[in-house]
Amino acid sequence: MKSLLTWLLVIVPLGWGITKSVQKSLPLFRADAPPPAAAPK
Amino acid sequence: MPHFLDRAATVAPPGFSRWLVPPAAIAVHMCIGQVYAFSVFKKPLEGQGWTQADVGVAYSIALALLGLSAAVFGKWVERSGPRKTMLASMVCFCSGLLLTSLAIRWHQLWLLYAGYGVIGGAGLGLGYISPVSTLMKWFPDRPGMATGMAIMGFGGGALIGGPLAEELMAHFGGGPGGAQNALLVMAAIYAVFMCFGALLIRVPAEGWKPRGWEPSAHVKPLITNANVSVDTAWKTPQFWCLWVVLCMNVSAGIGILGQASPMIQDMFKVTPAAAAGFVGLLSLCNLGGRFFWSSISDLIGRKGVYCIYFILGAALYMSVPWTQGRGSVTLFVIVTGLILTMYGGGFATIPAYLRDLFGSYQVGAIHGRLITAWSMAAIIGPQLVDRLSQANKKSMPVEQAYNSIFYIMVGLLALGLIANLLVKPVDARHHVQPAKS
Repeated sequence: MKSLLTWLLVIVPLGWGITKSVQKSLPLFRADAPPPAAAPK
Repeated sequence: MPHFLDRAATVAPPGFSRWLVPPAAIAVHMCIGQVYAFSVFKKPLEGQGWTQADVGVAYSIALALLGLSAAVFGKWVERSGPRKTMLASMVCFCSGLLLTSLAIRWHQLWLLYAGYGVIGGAGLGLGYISPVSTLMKWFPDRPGMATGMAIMGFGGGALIGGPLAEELMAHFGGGPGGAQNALLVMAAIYAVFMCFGALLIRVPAEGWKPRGWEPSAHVKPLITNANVSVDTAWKTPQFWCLWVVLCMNVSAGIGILGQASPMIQDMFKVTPAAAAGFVGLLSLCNLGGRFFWSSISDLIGRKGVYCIYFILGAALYMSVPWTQGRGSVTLFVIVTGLILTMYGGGFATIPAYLRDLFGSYQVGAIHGRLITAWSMAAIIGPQLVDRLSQANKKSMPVEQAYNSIFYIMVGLLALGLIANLLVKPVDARHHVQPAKS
């Protein structure tokens, strides 16, 4: 029980940070990049 | 009777669960990892009349001090034990945040450098090495996984520190005033978490080993059961080979990480919001790689896993211009994400590599001296990418300006591979006598 509680104290903030980061990265997957103008042929 | 801060007071009683130690180590690393998210203060502090470059200097000083303090205080850390060191780290790091807040209040740029850069940076160095060496002593059967857990916490610190600062600054009204108050609250939160880590930390009793585990009778060539002192270790060729290994691995990764947002915008014309998402994704890859690759190193060996970083990393770097040529953002993100997992893995695997070669006697102090390679890489990598991309943008289409940089990164990784292949077991004449260790 003590072990579980101590782990929760680090997992909860880490989980919060990871969730925020995933939320932040979502616009990337909605990005629709046009083909580069000067792509090598 | 030992003082409760002394090493002797932290020796674990019989029956103590070693699984209580990783949260203590992660708590400290999670706090000091805030340094990676320092850039969130750049924009608000422009309201002080400071440029983003002015504020960025504090970050560079902090990283340089991280390496210097770890190198200088490494032996003290080993002598004093983890609790005293973690508390010293807490005092320095949180004082750094408080002084940064005062620097904003009093409009004193020098105080920002002295507070966040010098004092806070010293706290980073102390807080970085002590939990890592303690965890390796608790997990002699899985040292890679153990160091991966702690150093993953450091990567996680950026994921927490960035949004925490942004939310607090928004709560306090933004601008320099918001940053000033946010830093005060952050100093308090981090002090609580770091004290939690310091109070929970324990070192194993002399001769302790995990139940049912015996050191391998068949000693592998690159894993020693002997010990080397820090004063001897840093004079061996193995130390300097690993110094080059770490420096090259970090230089190659940090170059991408530091320029990720402008890079993807220039190469694929994505929006700034999508570019910010790319940075977030790279941070996640950096975090995951720390635990994944260091755990893999317990199975295939440290030298093998660094060969993967360098060979696979070079192949991936060479394929980046191809992804740009195809106009495929998805492929670009996958390739750079994989590169960043190995960047994180490089940090997390190096302490276990040191333990393999030099034993656990003074591995924290040896790790401290090796971290100077990180400070060096923090200068080389971003400077290289920044200067070359700026020069290239004047002579070629902007989306192709980064291609030559990727090939230079391949060269850096090749140097790292050579250094890794040169690593041989440490000569027995360098081993300390058992009584000393």
